[in-house]
Amino acid sequence: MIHFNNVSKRFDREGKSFWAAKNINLDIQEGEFITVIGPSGCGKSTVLNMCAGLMKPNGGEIYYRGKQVEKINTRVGYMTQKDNLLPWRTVIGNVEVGLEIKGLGAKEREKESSKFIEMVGLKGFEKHYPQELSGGMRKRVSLAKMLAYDPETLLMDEPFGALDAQLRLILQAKLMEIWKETKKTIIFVTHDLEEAITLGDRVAVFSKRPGTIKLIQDVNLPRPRDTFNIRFTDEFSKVHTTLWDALKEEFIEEVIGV
Amino acid sequence: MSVSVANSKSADHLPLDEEIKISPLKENIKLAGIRFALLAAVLLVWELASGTIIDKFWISQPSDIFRTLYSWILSGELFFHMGITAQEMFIGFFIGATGGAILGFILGRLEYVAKILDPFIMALYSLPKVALAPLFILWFGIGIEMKIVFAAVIVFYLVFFNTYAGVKNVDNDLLDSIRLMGATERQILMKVTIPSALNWVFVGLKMSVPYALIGAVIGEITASNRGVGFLISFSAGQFDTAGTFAAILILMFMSVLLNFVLGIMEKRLLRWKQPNSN
Repeated sequence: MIHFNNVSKRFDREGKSFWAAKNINLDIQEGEFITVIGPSGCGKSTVLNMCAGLMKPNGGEIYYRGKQVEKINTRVGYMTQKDNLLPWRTVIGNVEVGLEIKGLGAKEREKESSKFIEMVGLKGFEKHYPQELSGGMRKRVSLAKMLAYDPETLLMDEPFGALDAQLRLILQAKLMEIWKETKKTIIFVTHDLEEAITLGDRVAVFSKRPGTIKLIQDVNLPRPRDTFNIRFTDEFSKVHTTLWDALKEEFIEEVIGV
Repeated sequence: MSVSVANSKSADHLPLDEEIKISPLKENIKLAGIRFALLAAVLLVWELASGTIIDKFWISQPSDIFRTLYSWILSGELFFHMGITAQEMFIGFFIGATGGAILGFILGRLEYVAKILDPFIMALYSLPKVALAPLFILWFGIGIEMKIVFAAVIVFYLVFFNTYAGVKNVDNDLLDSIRLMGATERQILMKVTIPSALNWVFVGLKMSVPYALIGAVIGEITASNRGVGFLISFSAGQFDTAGTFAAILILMFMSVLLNFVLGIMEKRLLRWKQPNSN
């Protein structure tokens, strides 16, 4: 459904140019949950930006449902690292934005948005402004905002990074539930290996800059998965070892390089 | 169990600070009292020093000033002149603000035109507006129109610049995120660009209200036969120090009142900007 064909992206900064991502080849099936992991600055976010059509690759092509992505791809919902909430709108106003664009009536908007606000555990904060919330709470609003307008594919860039461990487990479970119900396609970038394995059908490991895909590992854990207990299974530790071996080198080189 | 008992026990015995309770009302009354005393002291020193240490001709005397004010109130002069100045200010503000907001918005959207016009706009902006007063007298006479135009020009520039900056500085990430949701150009304008720019427009409006008053008063001082600015220059021209001080006091009162109203409006309109307002 999403097809990356030799995709490369170069950035020019202060006269110097460097490759953020090089020769990315990746095929994502419809309804798949793929997680992406790699050292920071390896071009993971860049790949999502290109998939959303916010950036153009300098080489290669991206196809979404067989059509080349050349302008903004409105079929994907994108949760960036920045929360991108409208500061002059309340929590509920922010969650409703996508529904307004869709042209839903006020009643229906409220029904939908309340559902997702409750889901991310922010019931009672509907009338608060983003400025009045903590970073983790804003992240959750941003998640509710994306889920509420129901895009076909979800691009998520470290969505749970700012949350505490318990809440993260809860939201991981909720996300998997939604994914199971709606059969959405999800590309999920994380820096947490356990999270990557817990959620993904496959885990793609990025090398350090210039980012390339080093390894794609299938995760054959049965679903539904228990976000808390799954890490104690044998299959989990087997996958964990394989991925960590691949990932370790990238980090070691990085540390020595510094 | 034993742990919690131990905890509660030790909590009972912990030497806790006495809770200090400051009633906000009491605090405010105290503050107001100190301020009032300070003001009274200054007025008293002024009253006593005038005619003894410093010649009354230069600094007048509070009692004289209040007598003048009182006579102006009785004769109706006070409200007549205040009304004129307020009228000039508000009409000037309205025209300048509307023009500045509309033009600033248009130019903020037309990037290339803005680029061409940039040096001209900057040149006009850096010109001290006071220098335009004689020209406006020539064009519009010494009536109320000249003050309106003068106030409007000053307000126009402030609102124009803020609106222009506001439209240009809309967060690109916010634009992208709403585009991804499939928003049309019109929806982007209504849901992101305008609300985001409005914040800047408000700043411009707030800044420019006092300037509208300044514009009106400068216009009156330059050439006129009514308004608070006229009262100031006329009294000074008659060597009436008490009248000059009285007129300045009126002006001060007007601008304090204005800032007070603006403060309230800002708090209501820009609630989202104040962190932890709950």
